[in-house]
Amino acid sequence: MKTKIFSLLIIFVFLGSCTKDWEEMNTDPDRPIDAPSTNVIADVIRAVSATVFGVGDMDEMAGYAGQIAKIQYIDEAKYKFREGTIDNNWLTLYLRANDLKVVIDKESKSGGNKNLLAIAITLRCYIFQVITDWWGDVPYSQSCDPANLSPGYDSQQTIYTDLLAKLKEANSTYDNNTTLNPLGTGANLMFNSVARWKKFTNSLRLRVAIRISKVAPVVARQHIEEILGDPTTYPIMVDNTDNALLNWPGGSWKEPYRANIDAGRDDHGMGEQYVNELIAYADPRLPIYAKPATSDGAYRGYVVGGPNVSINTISRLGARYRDNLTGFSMWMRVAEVKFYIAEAAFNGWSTNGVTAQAAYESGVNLSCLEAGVAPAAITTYMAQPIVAWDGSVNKIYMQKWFCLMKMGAEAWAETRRTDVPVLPMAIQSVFPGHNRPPFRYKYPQSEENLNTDNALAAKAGISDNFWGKKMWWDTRTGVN
Amino acid sequence: MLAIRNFILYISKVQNYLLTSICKPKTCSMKRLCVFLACLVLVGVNLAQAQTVRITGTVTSSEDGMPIPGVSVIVKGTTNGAATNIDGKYELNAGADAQTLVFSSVGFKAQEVAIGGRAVIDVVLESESLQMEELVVTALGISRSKKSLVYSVQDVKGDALTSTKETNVVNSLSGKIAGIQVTSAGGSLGSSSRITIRGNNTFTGNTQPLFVVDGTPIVNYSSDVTGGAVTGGNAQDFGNSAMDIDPNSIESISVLKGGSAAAAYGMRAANGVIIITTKKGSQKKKGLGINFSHTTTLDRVTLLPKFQNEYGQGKYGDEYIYNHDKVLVDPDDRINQGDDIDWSTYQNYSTTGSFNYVDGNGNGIYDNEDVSWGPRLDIGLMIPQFNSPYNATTGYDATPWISQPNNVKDFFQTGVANEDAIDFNITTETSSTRLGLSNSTSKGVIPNTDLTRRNVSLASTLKLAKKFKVDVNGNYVNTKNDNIAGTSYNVNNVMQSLGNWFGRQVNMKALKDNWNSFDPFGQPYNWNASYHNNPYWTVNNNTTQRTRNRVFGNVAATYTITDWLNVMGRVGTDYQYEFRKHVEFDKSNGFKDGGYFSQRQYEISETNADLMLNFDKNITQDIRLDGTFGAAYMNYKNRFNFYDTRGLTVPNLFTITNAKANNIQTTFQEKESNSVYALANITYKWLTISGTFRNDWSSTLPKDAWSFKYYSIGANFIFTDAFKLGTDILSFGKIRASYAKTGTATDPYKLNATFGSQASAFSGVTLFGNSRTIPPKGLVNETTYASEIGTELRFVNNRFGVDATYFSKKSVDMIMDIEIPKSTGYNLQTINAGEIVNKGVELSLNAGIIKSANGFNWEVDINWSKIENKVNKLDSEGKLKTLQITSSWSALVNARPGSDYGVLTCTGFARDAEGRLIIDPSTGAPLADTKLRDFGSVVPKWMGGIRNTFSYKGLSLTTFIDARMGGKIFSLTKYFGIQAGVLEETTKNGIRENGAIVGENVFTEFGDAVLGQVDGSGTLVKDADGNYIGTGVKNDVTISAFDLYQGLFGIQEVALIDASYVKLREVSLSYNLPKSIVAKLGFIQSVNVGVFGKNLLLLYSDKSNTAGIDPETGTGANQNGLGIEINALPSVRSFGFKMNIGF
Repeated sequence: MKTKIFSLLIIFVFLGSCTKDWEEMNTDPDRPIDAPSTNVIADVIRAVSATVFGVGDMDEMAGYAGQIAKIQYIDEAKYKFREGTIDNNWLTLYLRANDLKVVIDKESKSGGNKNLLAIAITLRCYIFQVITDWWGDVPYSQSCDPANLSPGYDSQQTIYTDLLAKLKEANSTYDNNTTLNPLGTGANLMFNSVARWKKFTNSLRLRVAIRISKVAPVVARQHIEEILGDPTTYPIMVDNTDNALLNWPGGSWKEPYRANIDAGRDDHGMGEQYVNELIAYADPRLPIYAKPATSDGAYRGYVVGGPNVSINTISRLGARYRDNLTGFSMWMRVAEVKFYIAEAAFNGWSTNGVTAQAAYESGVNLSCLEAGVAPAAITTYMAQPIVAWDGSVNKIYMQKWFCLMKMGAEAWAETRRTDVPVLPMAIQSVFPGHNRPPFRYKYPQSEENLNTDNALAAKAGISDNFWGKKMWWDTRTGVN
Repeated sequence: MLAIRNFILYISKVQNYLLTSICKPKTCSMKRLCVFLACLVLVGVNLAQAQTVRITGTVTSSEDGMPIPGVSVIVKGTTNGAATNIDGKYELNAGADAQTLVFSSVGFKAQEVAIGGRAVIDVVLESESLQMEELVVTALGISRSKKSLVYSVQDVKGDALTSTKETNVVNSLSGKIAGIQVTSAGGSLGSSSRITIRGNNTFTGNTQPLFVVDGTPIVNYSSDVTGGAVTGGNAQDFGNSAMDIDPNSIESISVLKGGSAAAAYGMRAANGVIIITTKKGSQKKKGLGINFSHTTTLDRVTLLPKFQNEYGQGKYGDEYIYNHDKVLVDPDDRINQGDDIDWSTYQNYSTTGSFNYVDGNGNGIYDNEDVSWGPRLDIGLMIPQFNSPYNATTGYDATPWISQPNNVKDFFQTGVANEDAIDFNITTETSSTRLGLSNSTSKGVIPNTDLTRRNVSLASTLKLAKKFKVDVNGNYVNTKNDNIAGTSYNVNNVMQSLGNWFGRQVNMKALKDNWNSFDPFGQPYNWNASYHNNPYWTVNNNTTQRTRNRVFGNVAATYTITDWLNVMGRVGTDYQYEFRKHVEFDKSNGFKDGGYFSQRQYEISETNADLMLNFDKNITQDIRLDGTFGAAYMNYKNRFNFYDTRGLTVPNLFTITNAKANNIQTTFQEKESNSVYALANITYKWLTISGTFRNDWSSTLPKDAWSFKYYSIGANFIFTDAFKLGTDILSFGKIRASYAKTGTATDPYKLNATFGSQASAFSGVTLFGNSRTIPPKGLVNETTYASEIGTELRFVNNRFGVDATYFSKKSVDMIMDIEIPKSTGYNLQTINAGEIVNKGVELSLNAGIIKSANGFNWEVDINWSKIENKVNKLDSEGKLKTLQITSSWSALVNARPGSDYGVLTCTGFARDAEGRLIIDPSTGAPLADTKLRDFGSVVPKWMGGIRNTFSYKGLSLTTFIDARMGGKIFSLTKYFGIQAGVLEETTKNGIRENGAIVGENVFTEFGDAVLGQVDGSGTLVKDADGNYIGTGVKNDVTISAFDLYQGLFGIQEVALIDASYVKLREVSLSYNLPKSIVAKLGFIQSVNVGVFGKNLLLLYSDKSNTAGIDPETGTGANQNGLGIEINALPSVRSFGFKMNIGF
């Protein structure tokens, strides 16, 4: 009997130690350890399009830029923020910046795909320009590092300097041998050739440079002149086929504004100032940008952050911009590039012989063509004194504002840089006493909770969450 | 012997089948070893041969000398035994070495009688007044005398569980056991209950206890489609799967609260264990016994929010606004700056400036607004409404604008639940078997919601040989809903609209009569086309069906080696398959593209195998040693498939092949654990020392950490026996103390970073993203240290009893995914961190206030507990300052080092140093604080329950009052209900007629109000810290109620309520027909009829609960809904009738 019991006990002990195959069992069979870079890039393009050019989280950049106004759930337009929305924007952009970091780390190893590396660098610069243009000083050099859970903040100046360097590096990374360095299906979603990706990289560098042209003209000029002076090395966008955009396929991936409508929402109308200016300019883009109000057929915008009115009196976005399941999210238009050149020429910088007027006119023309305006109507439009080039830089700015339809982030950045047009604070602002829309986006509360010391230091000088400390490149005076 | 061998072969085949059919073949040979061992043990049967002695006798009651049927007679230390028959007679064969017989029966004190060579042993049992020798089921299903336990265990017997027929058995425990908190999710059929034993042990993980049925753990899977705090999308509460257990089959539930009790169950027991023992075949008589019971319950909605009935839908309708604006010349000075307003009369103003229904889509005057800030009701106004007659040229006619005080209430119907249960008990010489069948069908208080549950349970004990018995427990459950009500902040939750965003003038009958028709614009007939569905459309068209089929049970074989030693092999499995389908009709709010549907499939299985060697020996007359050596194996699998679509080609054809685009997700999880353990108790007369040891191996931890050990030790000292103190006053007294360390592992796949893919490809390109969670470095098991000390005292011949426990529990190294700065490029990191301490006192009092054997009896049971739930640390370095447990609309429930668990943090009103509200002098609106503030913990301060049982002969009346004090809740019903102007407080004190002055006629509960300081240009001034400055001058600025309440978005403080309550939870009256009458019925043995009511009255609720919600509220079974009320479905009051007939 005793032996029997004893042998049972021995067996008990062996029982517990049987753990063969457990490491395999504890590996998720449905999720890979690695995934192709081109598919990661594809999801970055999709997610950034949905975040920066979407409405899902009710972000307000196009409202800050005076172009699009909330007509329902107007709280955010009055700067009553939803913490979750802000946090989600910050989260999405950083997650995607990290996805690209993983791609860059992988493809920069020997044998890596040079084109995907260059594309990842470019997209990452695009994302970080958005991040810093929204929040100013943000984690950059120490970000996207799982070993550093308290990433320090870089000044916006540091970030901008590095973005310019990175974009230059990306341009020289591209490789025409697409057999060795194929774009794959993912990168093809935006551009299906290395040449066009390369144009986007250099055009983005122009955008980055022009943003700092008032605060750091020497640096900006150097980069712009380098690019414009050597089109062979630094090709840029030249016509509307070069536009950087994502076409949504519909189905599970509908264009975000349309998806919003399909979700039963009708939250956005045209901004009053946008509509009024387009009317004042007799702009042929207006009937494309906007629908007439259902109540009386008039084009009527809605004052950003205003009191409730009957929404049938307000123009909605035009069908091209919100009714199309397979619509597009525009990352950069060639017309913008023309306006950068125009501004550089206006500044007296070398633009490879292109005059400010030529570039300006080309920008207006390309923007109207892109919107689908008939050439004859464009000619009429451009002949008006209010449009015709007269050497005033504000015309460039105004036309860029018109051109940046549904590109709220860029329009908000440019209106902060140029103060053209002059935009008011939302009339029912919960932070009274300011004379411009927000200078910045509210830092997410999560950063203050989780990266406390760094976040609090970065927050110094901010007032009412959205004002106070300006962007480094924001040289406006007399604004608060 | 051949038969036995064959049976053994059969058993091993069954075991082998169970194991191999559930586990993939390549996993380790552990299972086969287990089976082999079980066989080994079983084969051992024939090795033991012994002489036996035949013993017979009669058992009678001391009370009336009548024979007692169904008394269990067991040879001590063995499972060998018999039951007395209807004449109280028994006979059994005892081993030659048998020394003692144990006689036990429900309602009588167990008695041990020395055999002393006798062949006839007659015994008189004393009826048990206060169950001194109460046996409770403890760890591993072992029944132990409660008086010798070193830790606190409380149990609830089956009849107390079924007295009011809860569908979810977890709810029956509320208030009946000290130290546990049950939070159920309101009036949705089959919804979850969150149960917390001795406080919250974890921030984000599972706080649910382990459920063990007849010795084998079952899966208590809770898979709300979305947790409580999620907004938007589709959400239902599908309940926690412990609710599948048929309450009719439950003999008793024991709750093991402390670590000592739980150590035997290993890592999944860190949150406590709920041990459910099902009814076994009756041993009362040989042959066939049948019980039939029927219950009908009627549910009515109670505790609807307190609505106002003075103003209807629309905006700017306050009489104050009309009177204020009409005299102004400059339109910019007006509050209502709408165009083309006719100010001539309030009637004209109403239809031109406040509400006028054209199409419900914004084309009228605020006709798509879902708020009740419109024109005044019941003063003779005529306004076009959604249910007015329609004319193609002039639109809707103006019809009387009148209040509908019961419109929300009228939406709900009387819920009806019918339950029939029948059980068959068959007892033979060598077996007792119970077959239970039950069928319950419920119709919910929300129209078109239901729950059907069918249970079959079979429990059989087979005495196959003198020393060998087999227990088989099998359950089949079919749970089916044709429609489950939507929950959460979601268009499919009818309360999102009805409780928050609604027109108080809306005629519910019109919605009901026309829900299936369309308005002249082709939109579904509704009061609002922009934001909501007609609630009848929601419940009839946008349904969620669910079917779950589940089999669980076990087979246990016990072989008695000697009278003090037996070995048991047990294999149990729990397999469930669940299918869910949610559909939304075309033209529903949010789905305009042909409709929408989603399907979810869950396949979950868990297998547990145990091998236990049990011993129980009297070493000397006074020293008894008993215990168990055991080994256990567990395998868990969860396969989940999700499918949904965007757009359907043929509208409302909800099939995959009709979909315009498909989204698919699949997940599979598997984990395994092995364990060895030992439990031992040594008892010397009045002293018991107990110890446990366990080593677990978990597949979810890294290789170097997957083995972890823990233990417990405890002592029980019956001082009344030791010091011979027992007197008439103090009849019994013991003290007990124990200490335990428990370990816990985690979920599968935590160790590696993996790429995730989107549910649908993009133009044929699959979409991948890097892991959003940083995998852990050097992960180890979680550990909980628990100690408790307690006493149990009985007075006046056991008439009064007190059981008091002080416990302290520290949980460390919690495995959790914590939020990290998103600037790291990741959302979460898996870490071992944190320290949570729960300390508390539990008190149970029992008093037999009036006792008379054949007369009137009054017994009182009181349970009370107070728990202090503190967070000591979040991470080891102390860098983490805040961990968010959950949140809703920027009201955060946080854990913070040094604070109570679950601090509600949100934006409050700006206040001056004296705590007075600071008012913007230019508007009269209260200012919002510029920083977040803490408003106290969501955890209740104390909980308690009082049960009174009155009985007179066969008549018994029970009342049960349940109380919970303290703890904050953020109520979304209040938050949006006041912004939307539907709640009563928004019309109080004439604020819509005369305007509101904060601190004077509104918000006085928040204290006095002063004006804020402004500079020369009229801009508000802040101090150096960014806080607004008060002037100390009392606020006298009038603001329209509309502007005041609509401006509250972002100030969550307005919606915080104290969740204290006292409820009359149960009243039940039952009557046992006297035996004399029953006897005349012939074949019927017993008849019991009863009526009951549950959730009868909210006796007390804090004054902060102005919205009138049920303060006992929760969503889902996880931590997501902690401290947050999100448009809870109204709770229900039930009245029921039940009867029970025994044959």
